[in-house]
Amino acid sequence: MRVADVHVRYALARREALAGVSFAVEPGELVAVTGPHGSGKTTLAYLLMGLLPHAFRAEVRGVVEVAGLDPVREGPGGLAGVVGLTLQNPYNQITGARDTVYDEVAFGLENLGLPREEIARRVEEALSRFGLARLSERNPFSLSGGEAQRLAIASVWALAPRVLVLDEPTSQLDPRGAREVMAAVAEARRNDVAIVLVEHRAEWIAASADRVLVLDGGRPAAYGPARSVYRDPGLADLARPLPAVARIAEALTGTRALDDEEALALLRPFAGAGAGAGAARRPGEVPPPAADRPPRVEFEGVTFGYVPGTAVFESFSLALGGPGVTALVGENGGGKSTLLRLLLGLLRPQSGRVLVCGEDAARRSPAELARQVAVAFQNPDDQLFLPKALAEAAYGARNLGRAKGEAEAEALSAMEALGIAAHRDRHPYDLGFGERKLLTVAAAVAMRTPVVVLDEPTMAQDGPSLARLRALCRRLAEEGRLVVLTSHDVEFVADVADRVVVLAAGEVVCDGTPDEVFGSDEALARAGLAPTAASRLARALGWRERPAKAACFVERARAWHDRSVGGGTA
Amino acid sequence: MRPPSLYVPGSTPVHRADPVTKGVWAASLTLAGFLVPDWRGLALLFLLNAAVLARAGVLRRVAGLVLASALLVVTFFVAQGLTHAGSGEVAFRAAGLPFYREGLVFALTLAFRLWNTILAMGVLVLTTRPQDLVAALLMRGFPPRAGYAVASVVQLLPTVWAAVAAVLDAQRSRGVETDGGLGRRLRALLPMLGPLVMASLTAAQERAVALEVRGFSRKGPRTVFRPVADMPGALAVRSLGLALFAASAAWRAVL
Repeated sequence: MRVADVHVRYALARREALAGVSFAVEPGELVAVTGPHGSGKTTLAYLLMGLLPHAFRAEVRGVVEVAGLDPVREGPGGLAGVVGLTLQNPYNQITGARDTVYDEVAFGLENLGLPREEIARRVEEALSRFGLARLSERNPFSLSGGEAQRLAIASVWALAPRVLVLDEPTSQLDPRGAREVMAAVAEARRNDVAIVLVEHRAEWIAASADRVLVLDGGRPAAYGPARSVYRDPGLADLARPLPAVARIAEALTGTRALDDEEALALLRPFAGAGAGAGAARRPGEVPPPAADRPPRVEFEGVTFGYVPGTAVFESFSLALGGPGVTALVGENGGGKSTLLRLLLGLLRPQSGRVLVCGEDAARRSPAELARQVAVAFQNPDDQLFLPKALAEAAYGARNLGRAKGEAEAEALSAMEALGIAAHRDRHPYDLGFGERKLLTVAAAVAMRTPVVVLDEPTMAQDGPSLARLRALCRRLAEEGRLVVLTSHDVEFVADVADRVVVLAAGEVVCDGTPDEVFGSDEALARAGLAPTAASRLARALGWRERPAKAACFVERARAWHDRSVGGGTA
Repeated sequence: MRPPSLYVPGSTPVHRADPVTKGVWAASLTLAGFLVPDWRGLALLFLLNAAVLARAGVLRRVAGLVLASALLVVTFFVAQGLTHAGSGEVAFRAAGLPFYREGLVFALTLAFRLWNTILAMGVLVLTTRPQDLVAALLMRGFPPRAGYAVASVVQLLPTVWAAVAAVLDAQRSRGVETDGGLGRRLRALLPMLGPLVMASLTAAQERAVALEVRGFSRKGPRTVFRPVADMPGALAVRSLGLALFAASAAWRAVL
């Protein structure tokens, strides 16, 4: 597949969505495409699939060649079976044409007019290859996110494409689902399929990509082998955040390592930093907030289940409180979403009670509870409806009775903190998914409630946005507010949270500081979580205590080094 | 999410019958019901359909639908009994009001037509997988896009309901009161409908891309992966249905 000096301009758009992009992918290679929001990544994916200008009106210039075909001329129909594309939302890729997983995979092959025996052979091969054989009679809409995304990949895989284009296939999945999908991608690659992976997660790109194309405002900012791109100091924040191992190794040795093995080779001299407990053992570590200080959220003996006889929570008790950031982590199905809905008064416990700032949530309507607790749900599109971003961000505050000027000032302040203030007059649906997500966070913050709930705020966020989110959460904590967030991004959680509560099967399996939680192999295993890079490296270096944050790891190692040098033992 | 299909899985001979035969039966007996002029003839059609449904083991399911129509049927009897005087023969009086015999008989006829339609369509809908129905139609030259429209309605409706619930939760948590007086409910309408429409458009756009990727717009022959063969004796059953329809039409013409 070859792309040479391609320019794309959508109908009615002022600037080009892609400008002078060139790259190539050989069979069995994986090229990652990354860059900030609005940099043209999805446009590139649509272009390769022949959707431009056939499905979306756009002017295309330059050379695009996929397996000898020109996608611009062929259109998606002509490329079916040559190029496969999957998108972010796994459920929107289920066609709705068939009612079993087996038949959903067969659907594309029916459209190609293949003989029935060949269809059956290909379907069974694809289901087996992507671990879906045991689910073959299930309804596609009953699958988990990871299973549905694997079904999307299997469905295009069965068409025997020579190129797979994957647009952030793991951005809406939990760690287990993401691992399943990436295993499927590796399998496709082993079978000589050329892969274009649009992805934000630097750790995965560094670990799996042959080359990286970094886009910025539609223009290529960097292109080359992953290691050289991530080691380029001139790349500013475009491909950030760097993998945590790279940040740690660079801070301590001046060299960016891109995987654990490289990092350990560089960091071996710091093995002694974890030998004892010194004064600098946890520099920068904030003690967990005191749960008895306001604002408080208390779950008292809560029992709840969606289906009679099957309780999600049984006599569940948990107190969250004090200004600070508390992260709820765990696999999908562990009870996080149910817990948040109980907190928001959207679900009523069958027994026990939920107290939010002293008020029994069951005695208040969710709209009344909104004075105490604001929320940014996982899917921003469930709430956006106003024609301007600023009005949308101020909408919740206006519902609480604030004057328009006051609500908009608060909303604008939150938008500035998240780096989206420039979009204040744009229609929310003209923004990318990640920016819409930030807009809902700004809307929740602008309500100025004692408790702020952020459901997966890191979803589809680039490096600069993650940094702003982290800073905003810390600012809210300093203002005396309780931030309760859920996230599958363990590095973000370790960086931002004062307290981490691990939920699995409706129970708290671990509750403590990020160091305590990410240092507990048992808790991580029960919740299907991976340790942070700092925790992994500390363990591999034999440190007695394992810091969760990359910054803490670095400070501890530096402090040990400085003491050692001062004492003449280094 | 479970699709809202009325299909009741089973392996009875009625389930195994091909969708076209069941479609011919359902259409013939429904139309026959509108042609038969006498409630006794309708009662026979009713019993015939009930027997087929009982053989399929879905009679209880359809009984629920018949009961659900009770309010409508009561309305037939009250309205027709009071207003359709015919020859003027009063069957009985209630609260001093006369209920005419002819009106009540006409109401009974209407009720049987309604129930007969429910039962006849039940034979098709309750015992046929929507996928099999679409496959059978495609094999007879039904356009693929129309086939997709039929199949996807059943599959995608639950996703719309899930979206409604998600939008409701999100807006209530932003201080939008959705319960209470008419004014409050009207104010909640735009925050509810806006995201729902936008989410539906986004989903439709992405699903259209997914369909394109699977070659849905490709020109050329397609394969029906699960062909639906005619049942043994299909011709006889279809002929019986059509004969009942013809007999009903003749009865109507004679009277």
